[in-house]
Amino acid sequence: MNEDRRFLEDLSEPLMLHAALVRSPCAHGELLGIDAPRLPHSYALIKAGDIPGKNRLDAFGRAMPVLADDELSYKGEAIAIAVGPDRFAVEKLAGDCVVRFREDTPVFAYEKFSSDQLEAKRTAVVGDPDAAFESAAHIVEGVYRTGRQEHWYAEPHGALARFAYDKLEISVATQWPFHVRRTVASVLGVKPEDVVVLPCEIGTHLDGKLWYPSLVAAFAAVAAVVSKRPVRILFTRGEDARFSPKRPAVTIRHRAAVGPMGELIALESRAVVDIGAASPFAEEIIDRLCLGSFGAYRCPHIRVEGFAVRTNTPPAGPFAGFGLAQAFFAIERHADRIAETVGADPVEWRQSHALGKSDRLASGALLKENVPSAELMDSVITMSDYRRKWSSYELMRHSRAGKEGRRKDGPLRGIGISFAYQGNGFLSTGTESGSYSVETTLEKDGTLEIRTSAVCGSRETAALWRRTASELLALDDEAVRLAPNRTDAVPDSGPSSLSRNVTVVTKLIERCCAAIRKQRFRDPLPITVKRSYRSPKSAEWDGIRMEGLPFSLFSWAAAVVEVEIDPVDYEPKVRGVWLSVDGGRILSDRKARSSLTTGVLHSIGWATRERAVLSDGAYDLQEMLSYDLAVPSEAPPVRIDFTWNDSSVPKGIGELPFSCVPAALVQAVSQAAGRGLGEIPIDAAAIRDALEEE
Amino acid sequence: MTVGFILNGEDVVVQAGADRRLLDILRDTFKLFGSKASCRVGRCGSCSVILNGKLVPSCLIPAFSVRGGEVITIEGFMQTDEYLDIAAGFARSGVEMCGFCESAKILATEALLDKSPRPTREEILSAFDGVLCRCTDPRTLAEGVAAASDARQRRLYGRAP
Repeated sequence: MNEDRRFLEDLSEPLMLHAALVRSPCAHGELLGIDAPRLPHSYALIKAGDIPGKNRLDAFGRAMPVLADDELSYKGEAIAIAVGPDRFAVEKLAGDCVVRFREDTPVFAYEKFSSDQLEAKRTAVVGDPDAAFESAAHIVEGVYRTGRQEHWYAEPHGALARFAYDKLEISVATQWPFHVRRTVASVLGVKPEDVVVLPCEIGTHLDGKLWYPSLVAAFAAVAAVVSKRPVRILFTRGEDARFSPKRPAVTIRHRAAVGPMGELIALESRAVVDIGAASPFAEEIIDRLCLGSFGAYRCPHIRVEGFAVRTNTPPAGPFAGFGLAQAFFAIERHADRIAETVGADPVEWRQSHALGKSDRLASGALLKENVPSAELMDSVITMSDYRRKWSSYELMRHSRAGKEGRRKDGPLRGIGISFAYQGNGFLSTGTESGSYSVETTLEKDGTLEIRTSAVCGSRETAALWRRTASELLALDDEAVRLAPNRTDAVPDSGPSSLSRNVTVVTKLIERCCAAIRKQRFRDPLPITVKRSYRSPKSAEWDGIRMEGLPFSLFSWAAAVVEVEIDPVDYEPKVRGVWLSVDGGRILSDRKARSSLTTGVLHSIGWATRERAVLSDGAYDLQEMLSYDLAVPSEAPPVRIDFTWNDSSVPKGIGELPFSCVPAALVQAVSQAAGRGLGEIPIDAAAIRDALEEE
Repeated sequence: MTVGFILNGEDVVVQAGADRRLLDILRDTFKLFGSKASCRVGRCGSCSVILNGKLVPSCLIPAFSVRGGEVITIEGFMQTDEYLDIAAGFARSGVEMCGFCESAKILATEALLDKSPRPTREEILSAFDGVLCRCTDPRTLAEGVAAASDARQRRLYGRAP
């Protein structure tokens, strides 16, 4: 146990004040005023008008208010900050404030939306889908829905702002310290250099701490500047679970034109995502949804529409996989539906349509790298004994049909397969438009210091960077250290998301070390080298027209999931998960396996039990506090094969389970239940209904 | 009211109102930050401590109810040989934790090994169902607890199992 690991709640300052938010009780309306109780001495209420700079958070071309000043957009929106010396008194004060408002009709529906709700839109056509549909032997349609998911990261959101001479220091758990700095400087109306961000322990975040910490840091900073005292704001778990961003709900409608031999001729896809009242990552999510809608398959004629729709609900945000995971769930389920319609084997259909080298993506881009689709699927099929089990469970399914009391015979079993990829790095224009750097110095005493603002979710990532540098420069591991991460001492290395720590930061460290190696015996010590990364995608990818090469790196995976359903309580139990992964050069076999196994557990949770349900535009406190997180005792055996890596470049793999496992799981449940299901989370009630209809 | 109890092997006395919970006095009065405050409704397990030999969520325990009892937090437990067994087992198996749930997982391991010195895989994984966190790979965690059990057997009986 490392006692140096300090979370925000472990930090305090002399004379520190606490802050709590006054939140909107109204989902949509006009703010008329706030009636505060009589404020005790040294307590204050800070409103939008007290903000010294801009009252808005800018991110990726989107803006949202820090504190609502006239329009109320969702229940729980921050409209004032209560500040005072006692945390519980401040929380009570915030709760006792009466918000006056004029209520308008809120909008909670997203599948059927008006043009006013549209936040971002994508449309693209490849080939001639209309003609293809006219000549199709079969037309296969399906609607697929994926639910919201709570991040349940280690510590709830919070921030501590304190003064250090002429600077304002912010301690906050964030994946992107320089975004926090930019936001706070803008909100305070000061230069970015006047704000120093010190990232504190973050733990496993699943992209839940990408942009929202900037907003929370702005609350703390404004409160500190107005009260002239250090201020800490720390959400309770219930508050965090109710109002912070979640994985968004998505509905995807597929329509496929299929030839007489089962070949996919054309695919129409319409994806709608509920981004809540605001989401800075709406563009990224909708891009990925549209791209993923075609899966990892060839299709000559395509029509895609994607809509990011605003509702009067708390903001949605990125979750591991952004939109790709939802899109892969839909297309993989549709692949099964197509195979069933034409009487094809689901594996053979996938293998005959899977992308390969020199194939074109839906966006028209040529795939430059080999895609080991056949090898990955063969590997996972062999490991899991898929073919024997699938045939056996099909036989059982057919023999059950029409028999009374058939389910009393024993548990129902099924097995499913899926194939997906992970796109490394960001897509959207503006998200990664900056230049991101890592700096290293080889000191006179032979030690190496690495300076980066990248935030490690685990200690093993930092150990990996040290090991990479020590191997390249032939140093002892102990001779390599990471400089303290604070924005006045390290360069901006960009957001720690979408496996960038592996694909970008590790590469920059390698480049720095390679440059030092060249200079080592030529120049005097200390030698400092800085290497920068600029996203090459802006030139190759047109997000609006969905054209070009979306990702510089792809990781690939095939998954098989076997389930058993108890015929009495209908609860699905996962008997085993098999993954075959092309993740490029695996830097740490143990960490890679651990990351995938953990991802499998949480993707099963998303598919079967994790349920974040909105009621009247808000998450219920009791329901969120009893959120049904997947627990270790339910972890199935997971077998992973990395044999088919086809690249010497390290690639991200952490999101692959979310893209592969849910679809394979639901296919397995569908086989067991005898009816195709297309919605997650899938629970006992849905399975019971399916069995009743069988 | 005045509450006296044994905290990490030392007699302590603290003034605690009726609404104060054990977690509050551990963090606020004794500055023992190993037990984390998160849900405050006994759901997440981050605040777990050992009270009179049992693993409990300290956010649900009224401070006055520990009068005369014995409380062990991670800070106290780290001074024991039992902690070294667990640390060795976890390190050997590469158990990686986020830090927020770390004290709860270590104390949950101790509670398990105290009750069942050679636990099965099912017993091990069930022991962590009360600690809600997304960080640790269950397979590695099970291996780590088994390795901790081995380390303890070697220390106590001088031989590998």
